[in-house]
Amino acid sequence: MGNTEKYRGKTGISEALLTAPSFFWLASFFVVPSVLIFAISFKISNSSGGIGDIWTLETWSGLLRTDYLAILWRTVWVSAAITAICLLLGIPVGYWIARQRPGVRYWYLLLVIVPLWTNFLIRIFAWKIVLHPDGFLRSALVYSGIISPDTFLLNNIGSVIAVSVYTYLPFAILPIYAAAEKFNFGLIEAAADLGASRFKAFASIFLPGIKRGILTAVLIVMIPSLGSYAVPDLVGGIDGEMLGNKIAQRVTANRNLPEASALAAMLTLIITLPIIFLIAGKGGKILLNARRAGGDK
Amino acid sequence: MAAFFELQNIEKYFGSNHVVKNVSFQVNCGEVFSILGPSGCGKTTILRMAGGFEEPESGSIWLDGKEITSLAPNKRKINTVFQNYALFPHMTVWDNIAFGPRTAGMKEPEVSEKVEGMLKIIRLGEHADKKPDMISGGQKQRVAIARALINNPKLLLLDEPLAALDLKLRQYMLLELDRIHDEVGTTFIYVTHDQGEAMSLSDRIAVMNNGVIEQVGTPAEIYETPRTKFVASFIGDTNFFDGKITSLIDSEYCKIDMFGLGEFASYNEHKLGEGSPVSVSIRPEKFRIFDKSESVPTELNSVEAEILDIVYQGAQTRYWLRSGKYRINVLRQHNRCYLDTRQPTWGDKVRLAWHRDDITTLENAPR
Repeated sequence: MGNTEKYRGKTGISEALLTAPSFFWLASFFVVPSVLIFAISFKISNSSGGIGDIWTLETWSGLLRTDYLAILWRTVWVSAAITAICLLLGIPVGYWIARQRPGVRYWYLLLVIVPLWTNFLIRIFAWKIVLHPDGFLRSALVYSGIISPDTFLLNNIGSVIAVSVYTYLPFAILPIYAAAEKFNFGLIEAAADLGASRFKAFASIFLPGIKRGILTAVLIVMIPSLGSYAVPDLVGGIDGEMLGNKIAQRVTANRNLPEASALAAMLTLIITLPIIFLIAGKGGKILLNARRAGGDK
Repeated sequence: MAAFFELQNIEKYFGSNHVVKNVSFQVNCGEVFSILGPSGCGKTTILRMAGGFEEPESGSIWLDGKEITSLAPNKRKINTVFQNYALFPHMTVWDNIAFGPRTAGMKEPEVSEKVEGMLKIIRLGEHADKKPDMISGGQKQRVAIARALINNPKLLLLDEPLAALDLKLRQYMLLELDRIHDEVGTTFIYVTHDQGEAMSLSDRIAVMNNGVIEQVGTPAEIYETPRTKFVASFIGDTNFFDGKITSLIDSEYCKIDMFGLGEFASYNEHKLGEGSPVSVSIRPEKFRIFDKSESVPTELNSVEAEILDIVYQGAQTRYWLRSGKYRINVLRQHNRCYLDTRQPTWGDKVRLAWHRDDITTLENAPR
């Protein structure tokens, strides 16, 4: 205690020096581009595909088109579904790995991480092969009568969800495992001792005990899901289009940068507003705790 | 009559490790029964089998006339106070205590009434809304006890409940535990490695070593008439003398050659036969020290000894004496009349005496 008091003056300067690089980085590569995107969304586009000089609100009011709202709604519910499935799969896996002997835990964690060693795009293309209409999986399912011959596995919302879950699952398992590993499993015994069934002990003692890990997993899966581009682009088809694809289309095919910016800005708001709301409300504490659970303790 | 709680011929292995060896004992209703032994002797394993967290390889466990050997923990009318308390960190003291009744599906007004009653017993009413990490170790301990007792268990298991507390708090909690037991009357099984706790709290004690119960008895029985060398040395201090029974005097007494000291008449509780190799255990406070000038009463055995060291301990003085090859530990209580007489001092040649009834003769089984 006394020491920190004594060195407070010095820490002030060294703290500023230590923070400066990351502050500079965030400012120039996050804050400035975000402000630019917001600014461009209030401009008009010119005929050569550039940005015009006139300020306007038209682009934003134009976002209220029903097809945009449909895509926005789809983006939100698909992301929520991906997050929910990742939790449903990630919590039992994290629990199970944490219950193994310490020596073998790291081997199972390695198995979770191994897919990440292959390039992201290559793995999605592999899924295209697995889910292909002439592929082995569909043929087998049709042949065994589990799905009807007019059901397709690729180029729909289902394939977007499946491939996204596959992609994000390791990022859900890791924080849940990190929290479960610190969980005192003696508490489960205590709950059983007090009359709780296995399910009751799991739901009322284990889940609240790892809530920081769960919250981290939700953030880590939900945020990139909302901004998905590659997965829906490659396995989504027309039905599986999400907001990220629309933004790309506006930038490349239509060359309407203000409209692309408005969509991107909207996505940013969808992600940041709930978080700002959380921090402002009593959820702020939970969020800070989540950060602690994710990193140091 | 069948016992209230009973273990019959329990065997337990962890891998190739035989941790509990043919253990049987009975606990009476309302009793405080301690399992006392060094760490690793298997006492916690026995408690975990009673609680339902481990299953024995063979043998059976009975509670109130019903066999519960393989019953799940949540199906037994037994509750446990865990060594590290295992309070639920995300719940308040109040919710922790209410966990059992709520799980059992009790209605909220009734739960409320029971929790208030429990808080009164453990005297923690003003801390009811705090989370466990906001209260002290002793308070956590009491919450853990209340959380277990609120379910009206037939049997309360306590696993080293005071081990994590400091000495003063331990002494206080010992009194608290005793008071709570008097108030609720539940049968307690208390596991500890601390003989002081076991002696002061228990009606009966089972002394355990290496997976075996060496002796079950009241604190006084265990101290005064230990049945094995382990019990004699684990409970309190003692002096061991190797020897051999040279002859039997009658059915109760024998003559023992205590190697190097001479032959003495000794009480032969375990009816050992002539020629048996024995260990004679004599507690430090059973000895009397006589000055050379005094005459030793004829009914006492005595040997010549030299005083090596004196440790004054306030209420008593501890002497270290040498006689033959033995270093003997003697404890002398202070009385006013003793202060008037000359106190033995360093290097004194004295006579060290004991009564033949104040000893325990144990068979010296080859290990």
